[in-house]
Amino acid sequence: MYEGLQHLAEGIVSLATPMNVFHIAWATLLGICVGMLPGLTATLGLTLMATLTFHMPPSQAIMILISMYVGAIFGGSRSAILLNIPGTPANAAVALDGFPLARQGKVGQAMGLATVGAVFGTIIGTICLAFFAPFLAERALDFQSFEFFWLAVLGVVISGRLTANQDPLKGWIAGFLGLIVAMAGQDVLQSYPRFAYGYSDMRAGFDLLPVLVGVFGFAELLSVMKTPIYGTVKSATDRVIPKIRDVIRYWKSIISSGITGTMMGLIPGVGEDMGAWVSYAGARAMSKEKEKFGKGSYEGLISAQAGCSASVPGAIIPVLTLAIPGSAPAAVLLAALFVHGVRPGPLIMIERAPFVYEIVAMVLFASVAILAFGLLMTRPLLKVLEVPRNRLMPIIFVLCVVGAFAVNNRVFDVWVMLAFGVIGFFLRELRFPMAPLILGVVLGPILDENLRRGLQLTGGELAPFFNRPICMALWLVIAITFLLGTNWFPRLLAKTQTVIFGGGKGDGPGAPPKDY
Amino acid sequence: MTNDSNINGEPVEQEEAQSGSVEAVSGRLPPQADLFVGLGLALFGAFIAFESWRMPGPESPLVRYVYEGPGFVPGLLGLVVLLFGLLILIRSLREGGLRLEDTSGQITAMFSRPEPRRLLWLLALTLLYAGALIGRVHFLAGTFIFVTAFILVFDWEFTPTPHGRIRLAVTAGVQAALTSFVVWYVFQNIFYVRLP
Amino acid sequence: MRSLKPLRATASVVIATGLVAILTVSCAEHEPLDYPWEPTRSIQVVVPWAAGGATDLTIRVAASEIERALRQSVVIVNTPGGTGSIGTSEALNAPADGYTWASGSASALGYYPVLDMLDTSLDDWHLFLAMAHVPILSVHPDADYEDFGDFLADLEDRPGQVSVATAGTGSTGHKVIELICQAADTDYNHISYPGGSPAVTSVVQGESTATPQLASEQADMIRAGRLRPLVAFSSEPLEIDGHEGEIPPITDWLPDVHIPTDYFGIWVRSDAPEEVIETMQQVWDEYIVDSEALQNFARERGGMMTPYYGEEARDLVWESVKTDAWILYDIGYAETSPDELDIPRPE
Repeated sequence: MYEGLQHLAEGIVSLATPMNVFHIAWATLLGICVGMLPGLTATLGLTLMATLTFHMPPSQAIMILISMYVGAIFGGSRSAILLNIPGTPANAAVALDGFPLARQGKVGQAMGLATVGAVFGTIIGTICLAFFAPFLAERALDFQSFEFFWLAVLGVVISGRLTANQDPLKGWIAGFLGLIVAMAGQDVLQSYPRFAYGYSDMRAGFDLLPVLVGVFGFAELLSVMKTPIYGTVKSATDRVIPKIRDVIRYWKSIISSGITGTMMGLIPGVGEDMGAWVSYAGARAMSKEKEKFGKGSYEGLISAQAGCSASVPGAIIPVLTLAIPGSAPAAVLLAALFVHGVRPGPLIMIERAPFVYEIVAMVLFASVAILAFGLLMTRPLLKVLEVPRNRLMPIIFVLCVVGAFAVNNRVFDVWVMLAFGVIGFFLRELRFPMAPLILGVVLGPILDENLRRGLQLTGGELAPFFNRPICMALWLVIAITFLLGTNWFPRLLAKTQTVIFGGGKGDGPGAPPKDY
Repeated sequence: MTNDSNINGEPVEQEEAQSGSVEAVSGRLPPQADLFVGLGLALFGAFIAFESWRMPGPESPLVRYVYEGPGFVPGLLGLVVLLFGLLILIRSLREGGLRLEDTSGQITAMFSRPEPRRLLWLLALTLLYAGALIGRVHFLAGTFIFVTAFILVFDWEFTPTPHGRIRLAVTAGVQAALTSFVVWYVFQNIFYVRLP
Repeated sequence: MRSLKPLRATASVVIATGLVAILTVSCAEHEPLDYPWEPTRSIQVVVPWAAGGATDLTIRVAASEIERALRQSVVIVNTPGGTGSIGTSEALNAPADGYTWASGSASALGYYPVLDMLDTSLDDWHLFLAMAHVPILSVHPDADYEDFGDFLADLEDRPGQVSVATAGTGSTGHKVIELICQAADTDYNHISYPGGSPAVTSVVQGESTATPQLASEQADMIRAGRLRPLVAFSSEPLEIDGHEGEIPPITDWLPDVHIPTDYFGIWVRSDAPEEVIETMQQVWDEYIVDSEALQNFARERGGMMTPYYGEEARDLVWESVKTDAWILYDIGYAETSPDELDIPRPE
C-alpha cells in the first residue's frame, strides 16, 4: 500500500512537467471538441488519435489518448444539454435533465454542474482504479484460459444485449460477426492462414484499428452526411460556476453515482453509456425529489454525468489487469497499449507497477483539465458546434485514410477501412449496433485461443469450463442474459416475482435508452 | 449560410435527434427487410462454417485433435450466426415478412428523398479518393481534389447566388490546400510516415 | 463577414493541430561526418514483430546507437504478421537505396523458403548482428523440480502429459522443446500462446508447467521471484542481473544437444550501394562493439553481445539456419524439405 502511494506520488511528479501539462491540456481540449460534435464519437476520436500518435514515445502517446478519452466522455454533455443530442452516445442520460434545464434558460448552470459531476465522477473512479487495480491484478492471476474464454463470451453477449435494447438478437449477431471478422488471418496455435485464400496481405488478418476507423469513422461520416439537417446553437447567458451549496446538497448522489459508474465500467462489454443510465436510475431511486427527474433536476444531471465519467477509469481497470476492454473506446486504448509495447495483463503490477500509477496520474490530470475547460471556457467552446459539417467531414475522412495507412504503412489497410466502413454503414441502417461488433473483433482471438488452449490443457475435457468457481459465475451470467433476451423468460420471471414478492420493483437499472 | 441560429429556443427535436443518430438506431425494421437480413446472415454463417470445415483437421501433422484445429472456433461461430440468421428469418415470417402490399411505401420511406442522392455522392467521392487516387496520385494532389470536390458538392445547393458560389469555390480550394499540406507535412516530417 | 466564419474556424482547427504536432518534436542538428555514406533523410528499420517483444526491444537499442553515429533518425516500423515474413518481404521489396533495412532473428531469413513464406536466402542480405538471445527453461517457483534433471525425468515418466508453454508453432520455444524431446526420445503437451510474454504469464499463473522462451522475455518474472529458471540453452552458464547465481547450461545434462542460437540484428539488402555497407561496418566497429547501452540491455535481459558482420556473421547464422530448418521440417511445420533448398541436415 505504501509502495503504491509512493508510486502514485512519483507518477504525479513525473507528469508535472510543462510539456506534459501542455499535451494533457490540448488532448483534453480536443477530446472535449470531439465529444461535443455529434457524429464524432469518443471511439472515433480515440481511434484517430491512436493512429496519429503511433510514432510518438509510448508514455506520451498513452497520456494523450487517456486525456482525450476523459475529455470526449465529458464533452458529449455540452451538446446533450444544448441540443438534446448527446455528442457521444455515453451522454444520452445527461440530456434527460440537461436539456430541460437549458430550455429553462439555465444553460450555464447545467454546464457547470455537469462539469462538477464529471470531475467528481472521474476522481472517484480514479481512486477505485488506484486502489483496486493492484489488488485485481493479483486476483487476475486466477483467470486462466477457461475464465478468459467465458470473459470473451460475456463481453460480446452483454454488449449485444445492452446496445440493442429493442432487439437483442441483432446485438448478439453483431457481436458474433465481429468474432468472425477476428478469425481471419493466421491463427495462434498452428499459424494457419484462415480465410486468406493465398493473399499475403490477408495472412495477417484485419488489424483492429483500420476496422475501427472504418466502422466508427467512415460509417459514421456516411450516416451523418446523408441527412442535410443542421443543429441549432444557443449560448450560455447565466452563470457557469456552480453554487457550492448545490454541489454539497447532492454529495450522496455524486459518490454513489461515481461508484456505480466505476463498477459498470469494470464489467466487460458494459461501458460508459450504461454507467450513465444505471447511475441515473440509481440516483432517481434514492432521491428525495424523484418528481423533478426528467424535468430539469440538478441531481439527475449531476449523477448521470458523474456515472459516465466514472466509468472511464472503471473501464481502464480490466484493460490494465486482464487485457479485456470494458467498452469500445477502452478497446482502442487496449490496442494502443499493445502497439506501444506496454503488454497489459495480470503481470502488469510486477512488470510495470510505476506505469499503472502513471496512468492513474494521467486520469487525475485530465480531470483537472476538464474542470478548468468546463468552467472557464464554456462559451468559447460552444463555438466549436458552429464549425459546419461540410467543412469538417472531408478533413475527418482524410484523417481516416491517413490513420488507417499509418498503422502498418500499407495501402491494404486503407481498403480494409473502406470495406468495413461501407459494411458498417449498411449494418447500422439495418439496425445492428456497432459496439458489440468492435468488441467481437477485439475478443475474437481471446475466445478462439483460450477455448482451444483450455481443451488442450485438459485433453478435451469440458468440465473445467463449467465447474471452476469463477467460470461458474461467468456462464451463469451469460445464460441469464440470453434468457432475458427471449420473449418467454422475462414474462415467466415477472410472474414468479409477483408470486414471491407481491409486485415488481418498477424500472430497474436497465432503464431503456428510449430515443437513442 | 448553413449554421443559422434558431433563436426562438424551440428546436425541432425530432429532426435533431435523427441528425445526431450516433448509435441511435431505434425501432425495428419492417419484417420484409428482416427477411433478407435473416436470409443473408444464414447464408453467410453457412459459408463460414463450410470454409472452416475445409481447414486442416487431425490428418495434418500439426493438429492432434479436432478441437485443436484452426477451423474449430470459426466453424462454431459460423453455426451460431447461421442459427441467429434463421431465428431472424422465422421471426420475420411470423410477423408477415412475405406480405408484399405495404413494402414499397416503407422501403421508399427508408431511403427517402435527399438521402440516396447524398449517399451516392458520398460513396463516389470517398471511394474514388481512398480506393483509386491514394497510391496512384501524389497524396497532396489527391487530397486537394477530394476536399475541394467534397465541399463543392455538399455546399453547392445551399449557395444559390453566383457570387456566393465563386466565394465557395475559393474558400473550398484554400481549405483543401491547407488540409492536404498540413496533414502531409505533419505525417511526412514529424511522424515519419511515408504517405503514398 | 459572416460567411467567412466557418472557414476561419476550420482553418484555425487545422493550423492549431499542425502547430501542436510541430511543437512536439525537436529537430536534430546536422554536422558533417566522416562516413562514406551520409544519409540525407530518415532511415526505416522494419521490425517484423510487434512492439515490446524481444526483437523490437533489441533493435530499438541498436537503432538508437546507429542514430547517434549517423546523426540521422532511424525510424522503427513495426510490421508484425506471418512469423515475421510480412515485414521482411516489405524491406525486400523496397528500393535498394540503403534507406530501408530489415531486422529480426537471422536464421528466419534462411528458413522462410522452407515454410513457403518468402523467397529469400542469407545471400540476399548483409547481416549486422547485435545480440543473441538465449532460451531458458523456467518453471513455477513452487514446482517440484530440484533441477533440470528432475524435469527431464518427469518428461520421460509421463510422455505427452507435461504441459509446455511456447509462443506458438515454429517459435523459438517450440523448436527448443522439440529438440529436447528428440534428444530424450519422449513427448510433451504443447500449449501455444500468442507470444512469449503470455506463455511466460501462463507459467506464473500455474496454468502450464514450464516455458522454454527467451531469457529476455522471462527476466522480469525471474527477478520478481515468480519464475524459477532451471536451465539455459547455451553452452555456457547464464547470468541475469538481479537473479542470484548462474543458470546452468543444457550441456550439463545433454552434452550432445545442439541448440541453435537466435541472433538478432539488422539486415541491409546485398544490392544496396557499397558505401552504405562500408558505413555500416564502420558504425558497427566504432559504436556497436562496445556499446554501453547494448551491454546493459544484455545484462538485464539475459542476452549475449554478438557484434559481428560479414563472413563471420554469415557462418554463425548458417549453423542456426540448418538446425532450425530441419527441426521445423521434422515437426511437420515446414512442408518443403530443406534438402531441396541445399540446406544440409546438421551433424
